Amino acid sequence: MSLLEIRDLNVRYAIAGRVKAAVAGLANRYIDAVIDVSFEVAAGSTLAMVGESGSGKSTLARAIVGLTPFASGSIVFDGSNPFATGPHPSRAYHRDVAMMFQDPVSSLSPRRTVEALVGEPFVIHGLGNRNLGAEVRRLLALVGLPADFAGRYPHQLSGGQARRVGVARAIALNPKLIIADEPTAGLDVSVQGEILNLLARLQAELGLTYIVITHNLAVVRHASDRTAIMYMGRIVEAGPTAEIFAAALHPYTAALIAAQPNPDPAHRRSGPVLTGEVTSLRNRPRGCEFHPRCARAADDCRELVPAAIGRGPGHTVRCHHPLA
Amino acid sequence: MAPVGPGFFARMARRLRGDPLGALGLVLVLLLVFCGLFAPWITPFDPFKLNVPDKFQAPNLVHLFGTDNLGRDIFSRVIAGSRIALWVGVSTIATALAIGLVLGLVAGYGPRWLDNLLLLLFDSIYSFPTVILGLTVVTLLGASVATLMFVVIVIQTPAYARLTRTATLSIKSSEYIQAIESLGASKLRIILIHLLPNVVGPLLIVASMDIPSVVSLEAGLTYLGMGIPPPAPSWGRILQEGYSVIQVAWWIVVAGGIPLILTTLGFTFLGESLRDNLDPKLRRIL
Amino acid sequence: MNGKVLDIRDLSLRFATSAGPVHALRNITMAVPSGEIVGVVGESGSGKSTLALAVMRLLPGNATVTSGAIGFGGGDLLTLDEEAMRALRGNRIAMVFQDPMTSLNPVRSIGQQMVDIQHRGRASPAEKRRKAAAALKRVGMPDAESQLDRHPFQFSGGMRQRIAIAMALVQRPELLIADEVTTALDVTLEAQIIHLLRELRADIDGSILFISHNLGAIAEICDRVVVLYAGEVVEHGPIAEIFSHPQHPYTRALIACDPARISTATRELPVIPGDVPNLRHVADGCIFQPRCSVAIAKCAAERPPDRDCGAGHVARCHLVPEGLP
Repeated sequence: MSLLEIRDLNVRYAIAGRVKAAVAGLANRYIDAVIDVSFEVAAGSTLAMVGESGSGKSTLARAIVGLTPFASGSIVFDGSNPFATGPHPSRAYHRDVAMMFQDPVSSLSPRRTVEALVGEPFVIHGLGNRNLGAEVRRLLALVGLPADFAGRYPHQLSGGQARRVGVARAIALNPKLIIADEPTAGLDVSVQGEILNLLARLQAELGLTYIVITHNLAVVRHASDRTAIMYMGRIVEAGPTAEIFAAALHPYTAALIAAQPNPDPAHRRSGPVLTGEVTSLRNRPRGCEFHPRCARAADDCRELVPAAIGRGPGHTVRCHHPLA
Repeated sequence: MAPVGPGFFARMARRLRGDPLGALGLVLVLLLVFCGLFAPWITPFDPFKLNVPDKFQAPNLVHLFGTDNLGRDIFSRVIAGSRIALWVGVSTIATALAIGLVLGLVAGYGPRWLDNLLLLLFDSIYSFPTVILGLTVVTLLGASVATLMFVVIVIQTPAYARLTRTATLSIKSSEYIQAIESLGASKLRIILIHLLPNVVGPLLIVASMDIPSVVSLEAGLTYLGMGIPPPAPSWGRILQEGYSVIQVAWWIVVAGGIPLILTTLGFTFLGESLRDNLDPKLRRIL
Repeated sequence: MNGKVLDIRDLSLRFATSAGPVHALRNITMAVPSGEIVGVVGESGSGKSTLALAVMRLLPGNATVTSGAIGFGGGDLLTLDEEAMRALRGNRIAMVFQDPMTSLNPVRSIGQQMVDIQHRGRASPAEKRRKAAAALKRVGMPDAESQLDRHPFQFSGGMRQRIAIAMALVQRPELLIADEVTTALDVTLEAQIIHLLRELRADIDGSILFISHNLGAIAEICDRVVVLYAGEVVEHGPIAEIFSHPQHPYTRALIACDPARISTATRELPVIPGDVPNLRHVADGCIFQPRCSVAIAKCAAERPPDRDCGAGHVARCHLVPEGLP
C-alpha cells in the first residue's frame, strides 16, 4: 500500500516580479524546477531519487515537506491531503514526515547542545513535559551514540557523529516517512557504510519509509528498493532498483550509471560517456530536455516532450527511443 | 564564531594575555565601570560642595586635579562625571540595541512587505545629519539627559537594526533553520532560539565600540549647553567651565578631557580585541 | 622514467593549537616520478590536504615543520626564501582546488586573470592573451577567444573547474597539484574532468599529484597511489598492485568499504570500526592498531617498519612478511 502518492506535481520559482518582467519583456517570469512529477512510495520501502545538480530533486523534497509551495498537483499522505487547507501542512504531517538535510554539521543549530537539538522536536510539538532527558538518551542509544554526547555542541562532532544526531532528531517523533537529502554527502567511505547500515536497521526496527535523495549511484544500488531518475525537473525513468541497474531504459540513466568512476584500475573507461552539461533551467530545450546531450536524439525528440510509458511492472520511462 | 560556553572566560583571559592593547582596554573599561558604580563612596570631596576660598588651586596632593572657579574638587567631579557618562553611554546603547535587534530580526525573517517598510524607516532616519537632528530635537524638547538619550537611541537603532537584518538574512537560508522549519516550529521560536543567539555576538561588539561616541556626544552637547544642565558634573560641563577660565586654570580642561580620551580608547581597544578573538571574519566588515 | 619531480623525505609537521601540538604529518616519504600521476588517498584527518599545502608552502602560521625535506628541481623547497617560493608557485608548481570559485577572482575577467599569472613572462600582452586562449581551448572550452572577457560567475561549476585547470597549466608547470578537484562536481562532470586531466597529461608531459578521498577517481587516473592514514603513509605502490593486492589492513578495509566495489546489493555494508586517532598523543605502536581487525600484540608495542612487497610496493605493517619479493 502506498504511504505517499504524488500526482502531477509542479514547482516553479519566480525569477522576476511582474513589473520587471513587463519592462524586460520576459515572456515567462518563472522557471520550472519540478514538472509533472508523479510517483508513489510503498510503506516500509525506500525510494531513491537520483539526479545531478539542477535536476530538481531537492526542490521536490522541500515541496513534499512543505518548505516550498507547489504550483499544482496533489500530495496524498497516508490517505489524506495534508495541504488541503493551504500551503502550510498540518502539525500532524510535520510529525509524520521528517526531513534530514544535506550537510551533517550545518543542519544543526550551532549554539545548541546535542540534548537541546534532539529534544527540540518534542518541545515544538508540545510533548516537552515528558522526561526529555531520558527520551534524548534513548534516541542517542538508538542511533549508536554514547549518552555523554548530550552535552556536546555541533562543532565538537565529527561528520558521522553529527549525521547520527541528525538521524536521532529525524526519528524523534516516530515519523512514518523520512526524506533524507544526500545522507552520505561529505562523509568518509567507511562512515558512509555506518550511516547506511544505521538507516537500514532503523527501517527494519521502526517500520520506516524512506525517500533518499542522492547523486551517488553506489549508495542507491545498495540502499533502495525503487529508483527514480530526474533530469531538469522531470522523472525520466522510474523502476525497481535492480532492474534499473541491470537494464536501464533511458539514455540518461545509462549514461549516469556508466559515468560512475570504476574502482578497478584494470577496467578504466576510455572517455566520458556524456559530454556537455545540464542546460540552464532558463533555457529549457524544446521537446525532450535531454536531447542536446543524447546520442540517440532524433527529430521527434527535438519537438515533442516524451510521455511516460510503462515497460514491465512498475517500470516507466520518458523517452521516444528507449534502450530496450 | 566560537560559542559562548563553559571555559569561555578562561579562554578570553588567556587570549588577552597575548594582546596587551585588549588588556589595556579591559582595564580602562573596568576602571570606568568601577568609578561609575561606586562614585558616591570613592570621591574624596563632595563634587557639588562650593569652597570659594580654595578656588583655582593647581593640582596638589589634597586636590589631585586641582579646583575650579567655585573651589569644587575637580577629581571628585571627574569621578562623579564618570557615572553620568557610563549611564548615558550604556543605557542608550543598550536600549538602541534591544530595539534594533527586534526590528532587525522582524525585518530579516518577517514578510517581505514589512521588511521593505522597515528598511524605508531605517533609511529615512539614517539620512538625517546626526548633529542637526540632535540640535533640532534639543531645541524642541529642551536640553536634558532624557532628550539626549532619546536622540542617540533614534540615531543608533536603525544602524543596529540594519546589521541584525543582514545577519538574519544570511542565517535564514542556512540548513539548520530549514531543518527547524521542517519540524513545524513557530516563527517566534525560530527567531528567539535559533536566530537571536547567532546574530547577537557581532552586534554586541559593534555596540561596545559605539559607547564612547555616545559619551563624546553627550560631552559635546553639554559643552554647547544643550546637554545636561548644570550643576551636574558631566565631563562636557567640566570642559566648558574650564574653557572659560583656561587662562587662569589650564588643568580643568585637561582633567575634563583625559577621561573622555581614556574611555574612547578603552572601549575601542576592548571592542577590537573581542572582535578579533570571537570572530576573525568580522575584521573585514567592522 | 627519468627521476623524480617531487621527492618528499621524512616530512613531519605539527600544528600548535590551544590544546597542545597536533602531529598532523609524521615521517612522510613519497615521490612523484616525472610524467606520472600519483594519487594520495585518505579520509578526513589523514593529512592529505596538509601535505599539498606543505608542498606549496601555504601552511597556516601555526604549522611547524619538525623534520624532513621536500625535494623539487634539485633543491629543497623548505629552504627557499619567500621570494624564491613565490617565483615557483604558479610557474613551476601549480595547484587546483576543490572549489574553483575560491581560486578565481570574481571581479576580474578570466582573460585578465590568465594574463595576470603570466606576469613574469616577457611576452607581449597580445601574446599572453593568445596563450591564455590556447590554454582555455586545451581544456575543452568552446569558442575560447570570446570567453576571455567573461567573468567567473558566468560559467557553470564544471566550466569553472576547467578554467582553473587552464590557469594552472598556462605556465606549463612541472608539477600540478590537484586537491579534490572532482569532489564538488556531479558524476558526469567528474568523468569529464578526469578524462581531461588524462588528456592533458599526454599533452604537457606533466606530473600530477592527485589528492582525493574517492577511490574510484584515483583508480581511473593514477599510476601510483599513496595511502595516507592519520598523518602517516601506511602503504604506497603501483595502482594495480594497491587495488588488487593491498597489503596493509587499512588499505584493505578502505577498498572493501567502497560501496561501488560491492557487486551484489546489500543492506549491511562493511565499515571500519572505531574513530580516527587523536593526533595530539600519538601512541607507540602502529597508528592503525586500535581499529585493526588482525592486530597482534606486537602492533600495540612497536612501530611497524616499511616492508617492501616488491615492484615498488611498500606497506608499513608488522604482518607483511619480511623479504617478500
